[in-house]
Amino acid sequence: MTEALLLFAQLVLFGLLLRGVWRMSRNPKNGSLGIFSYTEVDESAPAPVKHKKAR
Amino acid sequence: MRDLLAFAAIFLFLPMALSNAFVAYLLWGWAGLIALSSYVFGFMGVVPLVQVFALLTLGALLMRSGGDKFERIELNRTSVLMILFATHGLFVALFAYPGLGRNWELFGNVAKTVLFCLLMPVFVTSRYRIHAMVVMVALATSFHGALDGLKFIASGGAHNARGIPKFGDNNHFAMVLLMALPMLYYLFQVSAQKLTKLGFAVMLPLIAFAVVATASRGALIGLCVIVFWILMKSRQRLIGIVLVAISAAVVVQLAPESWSQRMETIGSAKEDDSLLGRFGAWKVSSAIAVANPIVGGGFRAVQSSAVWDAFKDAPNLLPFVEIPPFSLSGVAAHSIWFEVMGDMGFVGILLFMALIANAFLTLREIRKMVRIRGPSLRWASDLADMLGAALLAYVVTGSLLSAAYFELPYIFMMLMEVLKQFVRKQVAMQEKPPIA
Repeated sequence: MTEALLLFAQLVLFGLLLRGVWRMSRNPKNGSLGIFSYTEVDESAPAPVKHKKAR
Repeated sequence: MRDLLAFAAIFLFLPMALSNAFVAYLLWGWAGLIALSSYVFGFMGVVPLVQVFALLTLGALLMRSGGDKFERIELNRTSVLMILFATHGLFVALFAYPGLGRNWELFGNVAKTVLFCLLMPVFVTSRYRIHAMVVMVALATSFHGALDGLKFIASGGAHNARGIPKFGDNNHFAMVLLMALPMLYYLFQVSAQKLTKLGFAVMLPLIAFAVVATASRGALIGLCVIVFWILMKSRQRLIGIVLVAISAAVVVQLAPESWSQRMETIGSAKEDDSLLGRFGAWKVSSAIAVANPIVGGGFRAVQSSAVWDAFKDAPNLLPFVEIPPFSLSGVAAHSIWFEVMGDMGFVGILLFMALIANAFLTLREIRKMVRIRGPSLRWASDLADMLGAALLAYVVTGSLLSAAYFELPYIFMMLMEVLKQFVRKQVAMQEKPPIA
């Protein structure tokens, strides 16, 4: 029974991934991978600059 | 019931696969790793899902369907090495000793794996696609261990995990689960949704418990190695150490006496029959390679009693290893290195070692480029580190297992290459001055 439930969960989760991928393929700019979306880093943000301490 | 469930799901996935080649490609990889036939008992067990999705992917590629653009097929270092390895495999199969039962089957597996990997740079061209590949691999591989992890807890540590026939015995199963762990950790780190993050956080100890439930000594060493690697690469090292300490305490509390006794034999492995049997297989494998340095003996030659008996006293690379005579004949090589050496000769083992070394070299290149590009690509460095951890788990546990032609390490090697290509493009875009 537990194995069947896990199989069901696997199929649902993989289905959600495919749905997210399908949406992203159609709309790469504004789409999302749904529950599998990832944290984005602001690409325009400059790399941190180390400031020297003033003497 | 399970068959109907699987049929309904595949029926729902099909339209997406037909309209999008990358979806078909993900389904191809997933069908290979999930081995659905091991979990269904009726008509779905005989449906060749891998072949269906492979054909769909190739058909869609020819028709060029699928949302955003594909890359052209371009050769890179990893793909060249893989093509050489598969081509050499063809000659190995052609010139194999007669009577090897799985010779052509294993060559077919290598060829299919290499084809899947060669197409990866064509489809996996953006961050979301790299992420989707990682999720696909993590879902498909960790699924096999989730139930065993739960059974381990429910039985108070008495459960023995055996795995599914596709992977082989408990040691092979443990190796697959070990390779899934770094992927789960990466996904835990980068997942944006709290519930998904929690899901991956729960899966991590569950899979670790499943590894313990296999009672594989090699896997315990592999587990220690990758936990150490992950802790060294982690930015939240203190939390990691606390979590590992808690998990280790749970394992020690739950694991039965028989498990502890078996693990204690790691130190006295030299007197162990199973290790002596391995030394015997390594001697015979290397003897086959000495006699056939270019093409080896053919896939799984060492497992043929006729080949074994012909080479058991032949000159080999381990004359300094003294083992008492034993009556075994035609046993598995029990090491990825000696397996490839005996099967594919010295040319084969050199290509195999070059593939693995190339993956770690690519990891270094990614780290270097990410340092130049800054924090916006830190995820790529994290993913490369976790792919490295998975490959390290393969190298450590595979050194005592016959698992050289299993598809997962090759998928990770190519994913590392794809990641490098992506990072390289991002760095090039940053360096290129904007058009006025």
